Formats: sequence, structure tokens, C-alpha cells
Amino acid sequence: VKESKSDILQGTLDLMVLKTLDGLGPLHGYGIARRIEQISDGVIELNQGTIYPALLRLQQRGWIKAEWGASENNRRAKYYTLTRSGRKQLETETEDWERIAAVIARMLHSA
Amino acid sequence: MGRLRIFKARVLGMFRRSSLERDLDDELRTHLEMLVEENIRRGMSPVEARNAARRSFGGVDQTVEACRDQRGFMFFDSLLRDIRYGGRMLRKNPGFSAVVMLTLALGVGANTAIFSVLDAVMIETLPVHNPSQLLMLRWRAKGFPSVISDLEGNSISDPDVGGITSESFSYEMFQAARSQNTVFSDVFAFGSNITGFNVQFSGKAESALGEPVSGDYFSGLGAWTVRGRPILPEDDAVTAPPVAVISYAFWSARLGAADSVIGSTIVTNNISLTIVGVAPPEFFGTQPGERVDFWLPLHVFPRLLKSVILTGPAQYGSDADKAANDYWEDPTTWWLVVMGRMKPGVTEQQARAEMAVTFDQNLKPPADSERKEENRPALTTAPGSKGMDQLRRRFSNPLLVLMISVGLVLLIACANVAALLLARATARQKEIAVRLSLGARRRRLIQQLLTESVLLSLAGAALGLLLASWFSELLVALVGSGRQSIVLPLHISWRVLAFTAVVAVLTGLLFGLAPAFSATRMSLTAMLKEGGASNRLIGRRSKLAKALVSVQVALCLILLIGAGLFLRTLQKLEGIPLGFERQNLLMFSVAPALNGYEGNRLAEYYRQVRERIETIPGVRSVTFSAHGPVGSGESNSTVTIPGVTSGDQVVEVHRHLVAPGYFDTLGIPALAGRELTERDDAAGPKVAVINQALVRKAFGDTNPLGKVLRFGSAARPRDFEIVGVVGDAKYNRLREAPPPTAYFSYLQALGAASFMTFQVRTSGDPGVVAAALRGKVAEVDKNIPIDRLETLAQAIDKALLFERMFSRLTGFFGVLALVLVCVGLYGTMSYSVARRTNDIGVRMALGARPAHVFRMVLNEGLALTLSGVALGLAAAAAATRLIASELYDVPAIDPLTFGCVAVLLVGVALLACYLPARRAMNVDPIVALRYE
Repeated sequence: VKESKSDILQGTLDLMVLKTLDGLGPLHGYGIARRIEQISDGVIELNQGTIYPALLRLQQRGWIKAEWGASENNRRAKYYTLTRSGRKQLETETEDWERIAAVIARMLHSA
Repeated sequence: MGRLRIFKARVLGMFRRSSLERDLDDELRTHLEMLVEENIRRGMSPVEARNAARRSFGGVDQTVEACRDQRGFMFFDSLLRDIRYGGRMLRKNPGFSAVVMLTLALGVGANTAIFSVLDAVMIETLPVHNPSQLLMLRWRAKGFPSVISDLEGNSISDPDVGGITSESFSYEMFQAARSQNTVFSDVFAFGSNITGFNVQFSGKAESALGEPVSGDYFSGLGAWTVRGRPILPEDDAVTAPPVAVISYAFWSARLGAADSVIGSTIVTNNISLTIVGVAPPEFFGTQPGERVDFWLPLHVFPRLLKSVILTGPAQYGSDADKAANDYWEDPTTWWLVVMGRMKPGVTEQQARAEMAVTFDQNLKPPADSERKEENRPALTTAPGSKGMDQLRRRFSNPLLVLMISVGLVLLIACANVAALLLARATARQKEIAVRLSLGARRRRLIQQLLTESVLLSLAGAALGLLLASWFSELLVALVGSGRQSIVLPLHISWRVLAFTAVVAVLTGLLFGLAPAFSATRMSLTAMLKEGGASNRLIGRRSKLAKALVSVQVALCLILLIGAGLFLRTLQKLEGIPLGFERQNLLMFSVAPALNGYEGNRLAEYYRQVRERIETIPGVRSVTFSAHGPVGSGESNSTVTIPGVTSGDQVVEVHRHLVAPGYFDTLGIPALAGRELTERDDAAGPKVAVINQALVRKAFGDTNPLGKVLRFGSAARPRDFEIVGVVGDAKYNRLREAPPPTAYFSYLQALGAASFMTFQVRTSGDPGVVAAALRGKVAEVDKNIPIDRLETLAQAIDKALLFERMFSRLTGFFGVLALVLVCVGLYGTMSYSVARRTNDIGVRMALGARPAHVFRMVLNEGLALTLSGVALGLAAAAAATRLIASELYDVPAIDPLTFGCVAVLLVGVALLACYLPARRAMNVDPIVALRYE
């Protein structure tokens, strides 16, 4: 199976979005992008636009849901919330991620 | 990819596109504005802030595009990926793919073939303009209506009203329906019987089938001609020159498809019909399954018929001219099927209500004023879109039985394929584990695996479609076997294609579902720990495979029992006592009246033919009768028997009009009195010979000799004295017990019979006599063709051809199912043994004897089979009741058939388990343990 680089990055971005929503509650796209940039401390240089296909994808899978609301500055903005199945997905993906990361770390250090 | 994207965008564009796009635009604009605001807060100038925002956001258009892709096409995209991947996997295992595809091709092909015949017989509408507007008139009555003296066409006993129903009407009633209605735009009619004629064209004499139609038949149906013109209203008049439209098949097969036939003539009964047109190839008339060679105007028809009237006691006293005129003038002669085309907006209920009134007003009282009116018919209607429904009535049941049979075969094949896929799931365990660990979700994997199986079944179905067209022609030949051939336009219609596609997708899902779920049910941690599929998992999988085998056995048992019942029916019918001798009897029929023979000339013709045949060496005796002994029509009437029946009581009698020597030639035993002789002619006293069934029914202990069978009314009685009693013999239908029958001398029929079936008893091979026969008959008049020259054995074979082919087909499906079940059972048991090699090795190491192991495996297979047999027997007991009407002298739950089939199935199943059991017995404990 050929799994392209972008696919893996995509999966990572999904995980980051889920985690962000889990930590901060309902948030709009701009907020999510800013948060990811902040946390990564400049390591990840995100094209903020790429977050929107990811948001759409997560919605289609039923892990997050969207609602129009008013922003801090009274702007009309779309707010995203984690669903119950999204929270479960976050748990399993976190587990998987940690396990694979551990395996890869062991691999890299043992050789 | 680019082109695909455009296509996708277009597909999406059809749905809520604009609102979603606007939504996204709003969202992105907000995002950018927030970015700009933030940048300004950090101290940038508005221009700088906007540029910086653009930079950190990335391309807006790309984002919109990416979202668009994400939104609409995830399903298509992954489907396309799955299809490509599935195709690769199938190419990687060509052997596996080929076996599965072939199995499915057979199954789907058989299903498609039967469905295409089912479609043509039961669903297809007439190939005419807007068939759904057509309405056929029909009537119902509690019994035979007294307003009718002569009813042509089929009348069917109708269980709904406990009476009869028919589609035949008088000419007068047709005229009334045409002139007194507001609901139809056209009303047209055609003869309810398609009639055989002897026709001469370009020097040849042949028999052809003609259907009389009213002048507006073609225009009412909206059917046109491919050459010339159709029959027009002006052709349908007594004074009009006689014309005919010929069928496409007749034109191409017998007239060489020459354009010059338009304007040429065919001659029948000394009347020249000018051919004015050729019907289109797909047009077969309005009676599906019946062949029509030519159509002729209603008003020409009786002129051709002039001397073609069924002759027998019921028609005594009527002469040919009167009979011909009866078609027009006699309101008690009902011979026309009437159809109407409803005006737009008129419902069937409205049309029926109006026609019911018209019908009732025009119903004439009985012709015979002495009889009181009884069984007054009431008008109903039937949709005319599919034409007359004899074909549907006759074959819908057998076709449904076949459809169910092939459906079951396909199910069994599905179970086999599912078992194969289950085994393969184990082989693909590693691949699936890798994909799961890389983050593929289970649902996606299942979708992927199902795509693979549907791909397989679609490929199989495509192959099956090729098989189907060949197979369905075979089927039509089968359906059309018997007395006359059936003309069925078969083509792969969109319904057939849709059916095949649906069947293919359903089978793919059906056999793919369980394996797909089973293959993806695994825990990653267990996989990582054990490095392979857990035993528990494989155990569950083989349990599923075993359940599949049990179900297969049950389905197979149902099929075999059905086949067994049909086989027994056939045996019973083949061995049926006829009441006369089967061997060395040659038969043929002639219809000299169609060439203008009448009265004494007719009788003279028959006598001469008989004399000529008697001179052929090897002929023992010759006789003839209006109806052949089996499968060539019947006549019946009701009689009173003075001194035996009382008051209004009547006895129904089947009539045979025979020549002297009939009983002797056929070998029907004379039991009392005398036989019919040459002296029983027009001048002598009228006599009859009756069979035992009539004696039993009407006379009881009374001596029938000397009593009188009285036809006609009390005012004009026609009496026949009973002079003899003979043994019971079959009359027309093999499936029916000999009915009460009376035999009359052909010399005592006033209008001599217009057609006769000759019976020739030979001392040796009838084939030798048959060779000489044509020439001898032609010596008398070479313009009279011989029809249906065959031996009695052949006639009976033909009469049973449908039963034989039906039994063969169901038998074939049964055997096919049995083979599939064997393969399934063998595979499952082999797999089970291979999986437990280790376990068996341990047992043997601990002292189990090989015979014990052998029995253990056999018992396991037997348990599977027996559970299937039990299930199948119960299901079959419920199912066979549905086919009871197709059986003869065999109960639906026939213990012999049920028992034999169950024993057969268990025996074959044991055979299938034998090899795996042998293999288990020969397991070497050392090797088995080391193998682990």
C-alpha cells in the first residue's frame, strides 16, 4: 500500500484539531489555527487555509459538528464542537499515536 | 484526474452547491478579517496586514477547491480507489477469480435467462402504440349462459365467481360496443380462435394460420406495416375485394422476403386473397405466444370458412351457408375478442361502468324460446396492454418454480463463494492487519472488501449475460414444446439488464458481507502479540463456514425434492394406462374441406384415402376419427337419457366421431353389444357406442343397451340408440381420467366432418409405412397436405415434452446444487482438518486410533449434513405445496421422494467427507507436532 506523505500529515492535522477542540471547547477555524501554531511554537508552519478541508473531513466522519455563532468582536463565525464519537476517536488515535511513536523511538535508538 | 474533477464538480453542482459555497466563502472571509485585525493590532499598516494575512492563510482558491473535493467526492474517490485496488487484487489471484467468476456466471446466467423468459411472458407489453390505454372486454357468468349457442375461444372456469369467464362476444355486441360508447377512441375486434387454412401460393400447398380482424384493428392498435399498407376499414365489408396482411416471419420464411409479394395473391378455399402489406417483425398480433401467418378482414373470414365447421351432433341440421352467416347474424354465436383504446383521462373503472350498461342493454334473450334464460353474463374488463393472457396463465406457475429453483442454485453458489472468501480472509490476514495498523478504519476496509466481491460478481454477471441469451432460447424451445410451437419475442430489455445488475450487486454483497466482517474483526494488540490471526478468530470463522454448509445442504435438499417430485410425475404420466395400444400406431390428419370438399365428396375422399392406405404392405388396419386419440382437441355436449335421467337433469358427454373399425384398430376392448359398422350410415337408424365411464355416471345398474342419448331440445329431439359399450380410453388430455364418452359413426353426421385424423395400425415398424404413406394419400388429391404425421408414441412424447423438459431442467438444477454442496462440504471439512492437524496429532500421540480419528471427522461432516437435511425437509414440506398443481398422481409431501432424496444427500455428503477424513486418519503425530 502506498501511503503518501500528505496522507500522514493529514491524519496528524486531524488529531491536532480534535485535541484542540477537546481542550478549548467550541472554537472557530481561525481560533483552531492560531492555537495549533501557538502550541507548536513555530515548529509547524501551517497554511491556515489547509485547516478547512480537515474540518470538513472531520464533520463528514461525525467527529465534530459546526454551528454559526457570534465571535468576540460580534462577527458571524462558524463554531466547531467535538462530538461524543469524536472524543472516542481522539482517545483511540492518541493511544495509537503514542504506541507508534514509542515503537519508532525505540527503533531509532536501538539501531 | 483533471477531467474527473470537472465531472465531479458538475455532479455536485446539481445539489445545494451555491448555498454551501456561500457558507464557505463567509467562513473564509471571517477568518481573513480576523487575521488582518490581529496583524493591525500588532502594529502593521492595513496594506501590510492584508498581505501578511494572505501569506499565512495560503491560497484562498486552493482552500475552496480542496474543500469542494472533500465535500462531494469522498465517496466517489474512495470508491474509485477501491475499484482500482480490487481489480489489482483479483488480477493477482487469477485462479481464484476465475473459479468465482465462472461459478457466478453460471448462477447469474441461469437467473437472467429464466427472468428474460418470465419478462417476455408475464411483464412485456404489446409492441404497439401506448399499450396501457388498451382495454379488453370480458364477461363472467355463474354457468354456461343460455344466451350463447356457440362459444369460440377459451372459456375458463373462474374460481372467484364459481362460474366461467370468457373474452368472446357476438358480432352484434361488438357493433354495439363500437357505436354506443363515449370512453373509447377506437374499438376493434379479432377472432378468438386463430384458424388453420390450406393455402396455395406460387404452386405450393401449405397450411397457414389466419386471424380475422376488424377493419380498424391495425389503426386501433397503432400498428403499421413495413411493406404495403395494413387492413383498412373499407376492406372489412362483404363487397370489398378480399385482402390479407402477412406476418414478417411468413413473408421472410415462406415468401422469400420479396417486395413483389405486395399485390400477389394467396388462394385458400378457392378464394384469392390479395396481399396488401407485411407486418413489422416484432408484431405478433394480440395473442402472445400464438403464431399468426396472416390477418384478414372479419367479413372475408366466414366466406373462407364456409365449409369449415366442426361437425357433430350439436351442429346437426345446420348447413355450411347458415353456419357462415351465423357469424354475422346470429347473436348467440360469440366468436370475437373486443378491445378498446381508452380516451386520455378515462379510467378503467369509468370504461367498465359504461360498457357494462351497453352490454346489458344489448344482451338478447336465448335463441331457443323454450329455454328460460339462465346464467346471464355480466361484463368486466381486463387491461389489454399485454394482450390475451392464455400464455401467462399456462406458464406463469412453471416459470415461477424455475425462477425459484435457479434462485436457490445461485444462493448455494453464493455460499460456496463466501466460504472461499472466508478461507482467503485468513490468507490476507497480514495485509489487513497492516492496513488497520496504518490507521485504516474498519468501515473503510469492509467497504474495500465488499467492493472487491461486487467487482467479482459484476464480472461474473457480465459473463452470465452472454450465457443467458443462449440459455433463454433453449428455454423458449422448452416452453414452446408440445402441440404447437410458441412464438415469443425474446430480447435483453432494460428490465432484464436491471434485473441482472441488481442480482449481481446483491450476490456480491451477500457472499462478501460475512467474510468482510469476519476478516476485519481483529484486535491490533493481539495481532502484534501473536504475529498472526488468533485461533479463536479462525475458530469463529470456520463455525461460520459450517453454518453456510448446513444452509447449502438444506437448499439443495429442497431443489432435489422438487426435481424428484417432477420426475415421479413424469414417470406416472409416461406409464399411464391409455385404454388403447400404444405400439405401432401411425397417425396423420387431413382437412379436405379447406380445399372445397363438401358432403358426399368428403366422405368419398376419406373412404378412398383409407382404401389406398390399406394397400400399403405392413398395414394391419386403418381407421379415422374427427379428433385424434390424444392431444388433438375435444367436443362435448349435454344430453338427456329418457327413462334414465329425470326432469331437467342432463349428462355431459364427450363426443368422438369415428369410422368403422375404430375400436379394433386402436385396441379398445368391446364389452357389450356391437361396434359401429359401415351399415350405420345416413340411411340407417342413428346409433352410438358409449364407454364404461358414461355407464357408471348415468346408468348405474341399468342396462344401457337400447336406451337413447337425446341431443337438442324436447321439441326437436335428435336421438341416438346405444348399441354397444367399450372400455375407457383417454380423451385428449393425458392428465385427466377418461371422461364419459360417446362414439358416433362419421356417416351419420349430416355435414360430414371437415377434417379427420387417420390412425394406421402396422404390423411392424411404422416408419416403413410412413415413408409410403404420403405418396398414397397424394394419389387421391395432391392439393391436400398431410398434417402431423407421427406415431402415437411420438404424439404422447410430444404431449409430455413440457413435463419431460421441465423435469430435466429442475433435475439439472438439483444436480448442479448437489455438486456445489459437495464442493462446499469437501472444502470446509478439508480446511477444518488442516487447521486441526496439530490437535489431531496430539490426540494420536496420546493413543487415539486412526479409525477413531476417521470417525470423528466423518461424524462432524455428518452432523453438518443432518442438521441441513432436517432444516431442508421442514422447508421442503412447506414449499412443495406450492407446486402441487403441477404434479400428477404424486402427493406434494411424497414420503418416497422425501426419503430417497434425504438418503441420497447424506450418502453423497459422506462421500465428500471421506477424503478429508482419510487425510486426518493418516496424520503423522511427529510431523504434526513439529509443524507447529
